[in-house]
Amino acid sequence: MKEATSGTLYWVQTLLKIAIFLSITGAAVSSRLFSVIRFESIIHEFDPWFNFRATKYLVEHGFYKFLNWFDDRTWYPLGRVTGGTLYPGLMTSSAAIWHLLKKVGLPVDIRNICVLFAPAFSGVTAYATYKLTSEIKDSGAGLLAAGFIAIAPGYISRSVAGSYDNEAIAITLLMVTFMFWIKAMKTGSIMHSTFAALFYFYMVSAWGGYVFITNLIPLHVFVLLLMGRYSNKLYASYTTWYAIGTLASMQIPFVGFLPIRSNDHMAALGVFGLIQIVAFGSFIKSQVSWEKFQTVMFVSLAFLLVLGVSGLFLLTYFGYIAPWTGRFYSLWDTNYAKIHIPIIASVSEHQPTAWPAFFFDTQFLIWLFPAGVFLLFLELKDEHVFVIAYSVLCSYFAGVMVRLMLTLTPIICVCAAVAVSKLFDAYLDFSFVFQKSKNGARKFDKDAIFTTITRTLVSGTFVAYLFLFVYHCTWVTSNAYSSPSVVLPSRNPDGSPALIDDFREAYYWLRMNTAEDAKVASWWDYGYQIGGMADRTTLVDNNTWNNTHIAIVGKAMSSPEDKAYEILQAHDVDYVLVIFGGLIGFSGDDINKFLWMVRISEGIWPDEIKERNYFTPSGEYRVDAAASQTMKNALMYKLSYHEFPTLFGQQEGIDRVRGQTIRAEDVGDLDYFEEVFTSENWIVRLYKLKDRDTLGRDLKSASQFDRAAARGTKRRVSKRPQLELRV
Amino acid sequence: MRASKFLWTLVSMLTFGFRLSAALSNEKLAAEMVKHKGVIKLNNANFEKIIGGKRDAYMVVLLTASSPQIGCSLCVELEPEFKLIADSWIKDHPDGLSKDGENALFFAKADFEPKRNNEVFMHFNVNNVPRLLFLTPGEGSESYNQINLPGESGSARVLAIVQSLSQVIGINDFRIHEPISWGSVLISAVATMVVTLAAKKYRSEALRLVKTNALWAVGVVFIIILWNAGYMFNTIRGSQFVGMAQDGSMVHYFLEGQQQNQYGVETQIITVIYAILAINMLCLIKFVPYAKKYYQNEDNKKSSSKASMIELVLALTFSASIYLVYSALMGVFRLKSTGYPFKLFKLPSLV
Repeated sequence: MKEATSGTLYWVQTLLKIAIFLSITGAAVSSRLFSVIRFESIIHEFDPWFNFRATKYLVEHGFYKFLNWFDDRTWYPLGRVTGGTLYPGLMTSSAAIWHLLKKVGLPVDIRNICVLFAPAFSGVTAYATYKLTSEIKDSGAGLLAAGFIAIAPGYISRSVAGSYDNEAIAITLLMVTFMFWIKAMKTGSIMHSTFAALFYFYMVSAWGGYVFITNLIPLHVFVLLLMGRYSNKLYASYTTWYAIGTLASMQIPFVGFLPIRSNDHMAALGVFGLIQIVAFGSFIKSQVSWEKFQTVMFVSLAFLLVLGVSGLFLLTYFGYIAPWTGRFYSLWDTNYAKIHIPIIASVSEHQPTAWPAFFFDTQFLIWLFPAGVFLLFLELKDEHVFVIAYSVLCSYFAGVMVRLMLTLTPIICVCAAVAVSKLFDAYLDFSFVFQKSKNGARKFDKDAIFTTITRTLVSGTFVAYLFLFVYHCTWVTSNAYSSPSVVLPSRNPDGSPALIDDFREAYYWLRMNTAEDAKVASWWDYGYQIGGMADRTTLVDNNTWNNTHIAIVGKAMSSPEDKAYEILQAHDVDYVLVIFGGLIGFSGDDINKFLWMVRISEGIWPDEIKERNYFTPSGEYRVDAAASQTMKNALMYKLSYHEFPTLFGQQEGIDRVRGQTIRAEDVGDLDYFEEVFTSENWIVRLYKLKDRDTLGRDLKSASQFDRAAARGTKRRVSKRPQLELRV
Repeated sequence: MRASKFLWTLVSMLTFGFRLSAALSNEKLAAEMVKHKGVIKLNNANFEKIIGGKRDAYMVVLLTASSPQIGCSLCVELEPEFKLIADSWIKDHPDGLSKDGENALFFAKADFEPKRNNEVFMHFNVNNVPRLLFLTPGEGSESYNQINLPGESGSARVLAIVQSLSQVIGINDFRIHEPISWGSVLISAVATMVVTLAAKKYRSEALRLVKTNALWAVGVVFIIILWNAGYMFNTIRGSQFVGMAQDGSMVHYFLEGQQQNQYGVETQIITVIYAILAINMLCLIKFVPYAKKYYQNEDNKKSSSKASMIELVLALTFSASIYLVYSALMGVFRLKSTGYPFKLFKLPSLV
């Protein structure tokens, strides 16, 4: 796109750009609102509930109390130093917005700010992507890239209204940081690199994935140095960015001294050292003869390399530098997590990506992406090297972990926009029609007709593909990424839409009917939700900072009732919460997650818990009569299926998730726990630990005695309410 | 554990002389093993003799059906793994005895063939394969345990089986010897040497080659396409290459209806599709204008309509090719994602 600098054309272009941006922002925000319109303004999933709770704490108690927050309502009895172990960027941003709106006389509920936070920031992301792509090619490509990133499902997946998560703000900051970095590196401007460093600081405060920037920018510089493209501009921008960025990032309590002590950050430090040497070398080069310089360079480089590598090894060996963190390490050695850290492998986001996921998240951008990278290679300016390094690195990461699709999507949009805009540069130019030939007459011959046909055809097909892309994105967003997963959509038998609201029902029950300091044991997935919605103390939550503590809950769930009772009693637990989907067919329930509980606790107590004991002799994972005795005795099994068969009026019930028959004699009776609440569709079941027997009997014999006594008395006849089951 | 082992050995030594049934001694089993070159193959004629009676040795028996007609993919997967386990044991213990001489372990196998060894399968009452059976000494072939096959495949499964065998038998000298494929070692050694020598001899050319942008571009783009087509999924999960219909009548190239899963061959198909699309796109952007300019320069004396004509034909070809391959991609994606509503092309007769 040719840009005018003055005159009417300039104003028309500016107006058009503003109009385009307004519509892009409108599209970005509105396509993220499906869930608000369909359900309500509600926080989604798991992690957002913690962020929401932390934001409320921040708004209520102020910034300093927030930084010193010790949370005694999670990880009972350990507690969590929440203020020092979270990335505060997200909460402080929304609190700032809340205060700002209050100042200008618009008091908005903090929940609505949290829900609408991600859609609002997606507009900013689009603008940053526009600026970045304009630096890579031109503003035409920039507009396309902004349009792509605004509606690409790969980014929407983590930024719909209600998904109040670190990623929602992180992608915006990622693009802004990169935009400033490219500007700084092109111009050598200290101001721009300072901005890059400041936004890097913001990013560090918002998301653990900041390590990606910490490694990508040095990689860019390193490749440029290898290509012999050292310049003073590069030196100025990198050293400024590194010095300010590193010092600033160390101000975040959770990060602290990591930037100089962890291996994840050593590449940046190494490149910082290297660029000093190269700068010195280029100074020497301007002073001495070429032969002398070569010897000096060779000797000093070899010496420094050996010194640096051995120094790194020694420092790591003596523990001054932390080795790679587990999550980071599992990216390179893909089997590492599976063997050493089951808790990482158990998260579904950490699974490798199959090809349909790439296509699902980016549609036709995925095949424009390699074409765009190739086109950048043909020019290969300094900033193009950055895009290429980013593409290669993130393609690998996204292949290894599904969740890193998120960081790949922006660069796919940029590269695809470059490709499409180059195509439009060549084929959308119809100015020749209005051109006049030398003799002043309109030139409209065969030549012009052929050219018109060609250009209409090619650009026409691509405009059609763009239309299809919009439809695809809307369909994916509406069907796959707009469910809050706290409320589940469903259908009544007559086909009318219905909502399954069991989670909130049960959490509200907990909030209203239990003591304020009651402790609830559940699998870690539900920790944040219990904390956020029910406001009760939990043993473990989604923070997963203490593997042993999680293993304790896992052990309790996989042990027989009496042992589990001992474990839970020792941890002051009052209630046990299990998620059971067998009645309604909800497949993400605890029985399906149960093997992970077994595996994680086997990692700590290999002598007591053995995974193979939970399989049938032929190695199957079953819950019906064929299940192993260990499985049937496990607390999780008993709590999930307690009284389930009697619901069907006979001695057998059918589990709709696993399609197996549950017999009453396999489930048995509960001796140490009593059921206190079961939600409408049985998804959430709550049990209370019985108090110790007043007569000093053990609970098993006490319950057996009670049951025997009850059998003797005549059963009261009561009419059961009619149960209607939903599909 | 230790004491009972000792006791058991004592008992077995005492009863050694009074064997009634015609069980094979360890020496004879070792001879059988040599005859079969490792794993003893069971058939209708020999199985009662080999596994029947009160042996002195532990036996691991694999019942399998690896022939492609039966279409048991797990059997095919298990074949090299079982061979690795057996060979590793035999390599260290040519007579089948453990180092302390207390335990003997032999491997046997029956690969289903209707006439030759169906009785073996009937004997063990097997109606699905593969089964890995474990026979303890001192008992006949009627009492046996089944060894659970771990879910993961490859070396993880081999390791798990060997560990559980070592634990149950009480031996600590069962080591796995991964066979070194000398062929690939030789090839890579020779290749490295050739490359190094060539690089040294043609130094300036090699340097120029390293500095060629196009070469890097093709390499980088190829690796990006490969990763975007799910290559890492195959490496991490060790996906099956292709699927087979239940009756083995037909090969499945796509794992239909599953967005989170794929066969190995899918990556290859998708790589080719993406590559064709990207190449056509590049041709539209770079090659077509170039060709037009070339012809314009060639005959700029005459009218340039020939150049425009060529531009039209080329652009049409590449656009049509993009359209067709892209429709194919959408079609393939519809296979994977049930309920996906969009398509670019409809085959009226086939669908």
